Amino acid sequence: MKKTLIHSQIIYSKVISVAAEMYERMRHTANSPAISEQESFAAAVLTAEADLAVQINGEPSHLFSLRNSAKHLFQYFAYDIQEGDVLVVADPFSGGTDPQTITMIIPMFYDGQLIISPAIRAPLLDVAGEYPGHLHPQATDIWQQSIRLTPIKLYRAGILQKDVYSFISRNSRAPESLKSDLQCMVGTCRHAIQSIEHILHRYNIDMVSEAISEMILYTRTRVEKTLSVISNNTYKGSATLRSDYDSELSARVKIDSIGNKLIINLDGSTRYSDSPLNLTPSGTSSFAVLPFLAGIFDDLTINEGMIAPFELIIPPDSILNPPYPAATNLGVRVIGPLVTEAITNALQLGQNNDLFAKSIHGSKPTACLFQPVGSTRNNIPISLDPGFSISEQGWGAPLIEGMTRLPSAEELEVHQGLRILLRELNDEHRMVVRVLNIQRPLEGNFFLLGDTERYPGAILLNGAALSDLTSLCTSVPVGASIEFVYPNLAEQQI
Amino acid sequence: MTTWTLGIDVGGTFTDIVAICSDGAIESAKVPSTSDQSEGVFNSIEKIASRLNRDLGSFLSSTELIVHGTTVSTNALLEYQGVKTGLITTEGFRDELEFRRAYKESVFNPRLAPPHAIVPRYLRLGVKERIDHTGKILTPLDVSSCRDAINQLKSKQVESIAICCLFSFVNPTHELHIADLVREIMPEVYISLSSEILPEIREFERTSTTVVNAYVGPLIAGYLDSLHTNLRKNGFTGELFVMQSNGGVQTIAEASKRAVDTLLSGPAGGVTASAYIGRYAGYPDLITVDMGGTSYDVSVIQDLQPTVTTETWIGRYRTAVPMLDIHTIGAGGGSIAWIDEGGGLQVGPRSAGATPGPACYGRGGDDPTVTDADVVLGYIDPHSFLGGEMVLDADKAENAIASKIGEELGLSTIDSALAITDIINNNMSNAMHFVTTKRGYDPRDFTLLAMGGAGSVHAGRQAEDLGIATVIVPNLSPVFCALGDGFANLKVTETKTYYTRADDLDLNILNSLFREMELRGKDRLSNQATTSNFELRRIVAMRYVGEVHEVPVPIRSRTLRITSLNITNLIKDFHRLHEKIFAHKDENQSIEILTLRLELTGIRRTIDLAAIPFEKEDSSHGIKSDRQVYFSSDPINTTVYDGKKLKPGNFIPGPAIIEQWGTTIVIYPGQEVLIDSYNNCVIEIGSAIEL
Repeated sequence: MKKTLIHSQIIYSKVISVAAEMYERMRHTANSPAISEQESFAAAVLTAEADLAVQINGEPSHLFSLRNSAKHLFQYFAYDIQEGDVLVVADPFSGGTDPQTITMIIPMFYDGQLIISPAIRAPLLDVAGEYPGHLHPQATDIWQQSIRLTPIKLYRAGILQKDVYSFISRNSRAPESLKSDLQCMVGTCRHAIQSIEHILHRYNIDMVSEAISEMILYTRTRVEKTLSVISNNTYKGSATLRSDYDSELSARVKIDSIGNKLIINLDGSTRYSDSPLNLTPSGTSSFAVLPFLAGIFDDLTINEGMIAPFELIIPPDSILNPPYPAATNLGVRVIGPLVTEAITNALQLGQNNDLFAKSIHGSKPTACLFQPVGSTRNNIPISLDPGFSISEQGWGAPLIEGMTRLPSAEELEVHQGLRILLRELNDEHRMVVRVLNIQRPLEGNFFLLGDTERYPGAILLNGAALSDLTSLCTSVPVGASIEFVYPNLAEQQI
Repeated sequence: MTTWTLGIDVGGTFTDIVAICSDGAIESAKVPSTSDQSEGVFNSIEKIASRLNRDLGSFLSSTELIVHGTTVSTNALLEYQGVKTGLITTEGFRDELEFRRAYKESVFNPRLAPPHAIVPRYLRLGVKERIDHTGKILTPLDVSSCRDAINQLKSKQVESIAICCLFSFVNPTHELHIADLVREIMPEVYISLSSEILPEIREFERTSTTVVNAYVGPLIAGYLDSLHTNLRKNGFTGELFVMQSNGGVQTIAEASKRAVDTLLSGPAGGVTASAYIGRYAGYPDLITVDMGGTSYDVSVIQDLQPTVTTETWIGRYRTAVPMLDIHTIGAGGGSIAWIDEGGGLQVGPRSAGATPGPACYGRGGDDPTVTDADVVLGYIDPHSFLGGEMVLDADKAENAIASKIGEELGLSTIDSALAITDIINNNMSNAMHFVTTKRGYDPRDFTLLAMGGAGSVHAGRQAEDLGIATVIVPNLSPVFCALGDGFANLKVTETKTYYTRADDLDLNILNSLFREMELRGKDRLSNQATTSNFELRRIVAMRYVGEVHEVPVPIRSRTLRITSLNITNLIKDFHRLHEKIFAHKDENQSIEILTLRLELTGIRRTIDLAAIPFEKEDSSHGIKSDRQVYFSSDPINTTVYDGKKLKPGNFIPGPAIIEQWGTTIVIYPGQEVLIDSYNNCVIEIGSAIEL
């Protein structure tokens, strides 16, 4: 048995390479800055049951949502999957987190058998909705955010479904970028299939399947060992947001370990919100396990074994599992960190202070700019996240932001007509970024959570704090300046 | 009268020298590296001189060129031993260096410490000035605040200042003015301007690269000056060049100003030598691998052109100058084998180094390493290591593997050693696979060139794993980087951001920019007498509109002026390359140009490698011994050859082992080797191994 683990490691490393190549390809060729700069996407190889064989994650929210979306796709098309199909879904109520993030899987057949399949989950630049981009801070239902893409075939038996393709692209204000990104995803997955075929030619299906199974088990063993330090006690914790925006929102958690399973029970969390402050179960699960895994993410490859030791109990009709058609577009940004905070609060109340992530922050001011609605057919949104709150490590961006990159000030000026006048730490050790619109009249959706307990940061328009921190279509004429202030580390802690 | 060219490469353990005579003779040697690298340099020259029965002075006086690959700047950065450095930048941007555009080496590790601050915050000062993306001055330079900043740095006794203003690559006047003020107030200080070091868009990358230059510059300048002076004192009247990370060499005057170009120059020598050997041996497409004690360096040469990258991080600092794309992983002869928490066998990245070294070194190390596995399996003869200069303790190797791996995994010592080599070979194969496929290449289309002390022990297995048909182990592989230094051409790389849509390209501007870069490049290469024969290569970094990353596309034409036909072909090449690398192209999508790059190579007159006629195929005269070697769990009695005795034309079917000073070449079952006309071992590979 020991010897086969070594062989499995070797074969499995080839499968990891496939996912890693997919990730690099997408990063280098995507149009959407959310992919190429912020790396808010994931690339994976899935088993025939849509379990994770390997996943490369740019951002934590994909941990459960890629494979849950893929499972929805496989369930939906259960008896209707054939070679050459490209399955897509972008639906928070089909395993995802928000409707602008699409999951694509190309089922792979080998000797007539469905085996392992490459998949990508990535945010698209714009797919309809009331406003360009991803940020609609006053949405009350999903339809205001974007179209809802329930499971559908983009390609059927290798033939592009032009009606589907047209439907998606014509509902986008950035159709060329969207089409390009879809083609990138398809091309990347198809290339991955060729790579997987090479692996299968080299080693047979059984060996590869066995290697994946063994390494999933290996990963599970490692994670269980890490979790075993949580003794057979019950840990309870909570985290609450008190804001003008949505009164009080709480995530409550009870953590128990039973055998090798860690039960994370989120009962008692606040009822779902009529605002976009809702997080789907996939997103909730991703953020809930994050504090436990943060310390070992670098040592292990993400696969099904990493998430198998966790059992999540997520109450329906809560902010962690909202009913259809609740709006969700701020769930990842706001509720996700709330969940992780509840978990870390629970753990720190116990004996595990040094083992797991101490606290994970991330809520910050953000904006999405676009040309005045109706002024142009192609209205490519500019997602403006020019800074970050200092992380729990005391430097750099927080963990929950994943692999994100700040935009270059020079590139932002050249490509978007936005001039960063200042990006520095002020005397309070807060990052301050001041941006000037130098090129064309714009409008913006802004969001800042007005937390009454902690300093949440600030957004100033022309030097004055925005009166409405969830403003829509605020005018940003040429010459207007937007200042983002990010809280320092101490201000993020209670 | 014969003259000599010396290539001298300083490594972590050894300083290598290759002496090339004008009559074609080549001598080589290794001496231990010294903390003052120039000592090792002189020791190596003396060793060669002694071998030639000459004294140092007379040998140096007949040496017309010394090319030196030094790790002074690399070590200074990696160990954070550079000089006290200040940064003057546009007001409001003094923390860009610290923000790093939010990049972190590990996103999820909650205990990751920040990089060592080579310019701490109190030495990073902003001055009032602002230039926009067109080069227009929005805020004139506030000379008074600038003087204050300089005086502040002076009071802190900085030895080096980096000057980085926004959009200086479009309009450098403010940076030049600040430099004048610095010279006025601090005439002795070392100055680095971002508009000179890296005149490209993206302020963080430009600032980081310039700061690194400032940080290590005085050290390399001082070292080269001292070395040059000492060489002159000892009778050297020729030219002293320095190896660069772009694979070429440069005068010490230029290297002293552009210290950043000398970072990671050591491995570049090996890649340069590989291209040289590839030309003669008839293999223009190579994957080069250099496996030393600690690390494994992989690079790709396509059509004799090494691939270049601008995405390097060194010592956790971004250095965005074009350098040879050498991918490094922690895999070497000293890589330690260990069992992880899940019972998996891991090898590296931690290394036993040279001290204590592998268990078989007998210096107190008891962790099993790759070298220990190689000894146990019979690949390495404990009594022939480094030509017998060092005797390895096979028992210690066996004990380390048995106790720390075998007992844990329930495997025999031999199976444990095989497992160690399987894992490390797999790690190295994956690294090779990554380097080739990220550029759209198929490794099976390449020949593998193995160098470094341990490279040729494992190369045969890696080639099988990747489906590569041929492995070359070059003659002089133990001193390959020094060989590369000896043959490298002078080279400068000029870059310039020129942002435009391809449809809006102005040929006059394009040609004018390239011409300026050419003149600057020639000026940088003017202060030498070695060559006046220059070769030009022009490259345009392009991308589809909306993408963030560029693809560098060479302009195929060599006409003085770039024509619209050249641009048409350039665009076609871009689509083709994009599809090759990323499996995706869109000929309907707009393209934009971001950066121009000009490579100016000063072709040196070097000796031609003389092809030696083939002798007989029979290689029995080279047989030294035989021994039991484990290519699998069952040993095979394997013939061992003395590499020195083999001649061109000799043919050896595997399994076999060829022992040379400084390296061992393993020919696995199903493989066969031919000694070619240049004394390279050319190994033909059979089918892929079965697990």
